[in-house]
Amino acid sequence: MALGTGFCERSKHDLMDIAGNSMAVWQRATSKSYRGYPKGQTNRITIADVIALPKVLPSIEMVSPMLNKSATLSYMGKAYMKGVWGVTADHVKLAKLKIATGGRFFIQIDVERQARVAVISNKVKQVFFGKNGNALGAKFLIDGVSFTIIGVLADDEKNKLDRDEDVFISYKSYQEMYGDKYIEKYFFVVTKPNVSTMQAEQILRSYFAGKYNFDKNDKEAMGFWGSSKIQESISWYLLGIQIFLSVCGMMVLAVGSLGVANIMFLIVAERTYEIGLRKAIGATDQQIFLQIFLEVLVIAVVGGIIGLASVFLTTTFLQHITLPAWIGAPKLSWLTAAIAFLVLALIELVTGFFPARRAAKMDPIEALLT
Amino acid sequence: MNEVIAELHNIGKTYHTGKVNFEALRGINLKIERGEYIAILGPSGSGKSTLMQIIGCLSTPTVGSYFLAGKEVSKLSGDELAKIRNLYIGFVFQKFNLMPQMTAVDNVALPLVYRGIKTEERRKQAKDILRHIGLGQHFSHHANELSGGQQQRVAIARALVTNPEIILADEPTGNLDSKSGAEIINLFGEFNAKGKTVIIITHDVSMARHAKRIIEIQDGSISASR
Ligand SMILES: Nc1ncnc2c1ncn2[C@@H]1O[C@H](COP(=O)(O)OP(=O)(O)OP(=O)(O)O)[C@@H](O)[C@H]1O
Ligand SMILES: [Mg+2]
Repeated sequence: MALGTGFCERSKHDLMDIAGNSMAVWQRATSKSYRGYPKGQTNRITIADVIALPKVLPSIEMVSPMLNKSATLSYMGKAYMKGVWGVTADHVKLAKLKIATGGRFFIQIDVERQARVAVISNKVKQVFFGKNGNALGAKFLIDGVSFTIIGVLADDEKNKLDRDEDVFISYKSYQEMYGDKYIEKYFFVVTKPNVSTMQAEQILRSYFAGKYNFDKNDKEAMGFWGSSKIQESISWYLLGIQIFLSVCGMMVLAVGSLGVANIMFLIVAERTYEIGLRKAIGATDQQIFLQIFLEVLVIAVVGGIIGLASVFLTTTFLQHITLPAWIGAPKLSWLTAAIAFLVLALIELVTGFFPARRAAKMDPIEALLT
Repeated sequence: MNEVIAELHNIGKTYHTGKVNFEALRGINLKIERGEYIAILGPSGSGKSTLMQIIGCLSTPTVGSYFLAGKEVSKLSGDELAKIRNLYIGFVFQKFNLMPQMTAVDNVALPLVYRGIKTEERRKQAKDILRHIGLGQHFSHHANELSGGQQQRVAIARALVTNPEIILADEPTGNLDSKSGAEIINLFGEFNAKGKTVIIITHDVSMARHAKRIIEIQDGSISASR
């Protein structure tokens, strides 16, 4: 269960880093006719529309147009085909990119001045400059156009995820080079913290419906894939995993309890003789009951402490060896521990109660004869 | 005539095993005076142990009434009987029935636990008695480290530590050699001499000779008393 909690926290953490409250948006053919326009229209959203969104819609925090194509990169005679992205200066925040120390991502002024600056992935840097070479300040060519490298993505696990092949330049430079006017694939928006991606869907759909003359209730006209949808589906999946691990935990508890119950019964069975003797020389039912019950309790408490201690040690141990990152560090939640402890304590009380009562009711003669 | 300590009126005991009823005792009438030394004799299966269990309040009769120290005890609850056993009866069994993992002192002190006496006082009383019956060297021996005769003397010490009215011994020498047996018999004689009631169950006629009264049992009834 500690593993389960750790895994879920780690997965949620990953998810937050990729998505935040961001959402991918794209256009699709309309499914309803509207004001004389037949259905099946594809409305082409322009890059300028997207860049303007944070200014015209208060619910939008930032955007990135996600222009993308494959380009030939070359440096000192070496040439490679890699993906090039045309993005906003906000992209670094939006995608939560980490830049290696010394470098930076381009900023708004770079975009406005159409500065020919680029940020490259660690993989690209290694291809041209080697593992320990310095790429910062170097000039290289993207489809024959010279760019200065101002930043390299950190050799970080998160950056590795799907950005190995990437080069980032400003969308303005991209437009200048390739002449793009429309969003060809999709763009990213990040909503203000108090606006959910669900709400943002409505707002964006109505906004573009007004602009491009389609029905604002036409849910087919635009595609959205937002973090709330992802989070929702992933939450279910994580919940499933946690239920599974909890069921495993419960089964371990149940088996453990059976063991405990068994031991409790053995304690009494093995001591039939002793109990009979004690009763023969004057122990009352209540005195026997208390004696057995207290012994069971002591065993239970000592066992519980040993159990918790070993769980604590194992968890600490697992935290210190390297597990595959996706498992996450096992986290001993106090709730888990408390529930396990309470369940076992309850079972031990019950399993202690019945043998103790049986012992108390024992006939001293029969106990002595065996 | 001395005070009557135990009085049995028309006592019967029937065991139910499955569908079979077995009448182990029937029509037992017996008066036992304080300070008597009685041997109960009889063949195996005649009901001697059953009678001892009833006199010792380890079980209750199916019919009849039993007065112990003036009190009708045949219909009391298990807990009330336990208290009476602790107060009035000292048991000595054929198989010694000590706690093997406990020391001689702790074994002897055990009945005092149920009188709520403090550990120190219990130990002191147990040691006094052990010393008196010649086991002064064996205080901290575990019961299973002692010889049969020594174990039975520890058991007698345990029976005496509560200073009971009656000592009930069920074949106390049955598992002992004749020398150890004789020592045990001497101990009983000694305590009887101090005015305690002693009841010994045996099928050994030579042992019964030490008693002042012999009661013979056959098929669950008293066949002779002299
Ligand atoms: N708990 C019991 N349930 C059923 N029958 C019993 C029980 N205890 C004793 N009996 C039967 O009652 C009869 C008398 O038993 P008891 O033990 O009193 O005899 P005893 O005179 O002590 O014999 P021994 O000399 O062998 O000890 C026996 O036939 C025995 O089988
Ligand atoms: Mg017998």
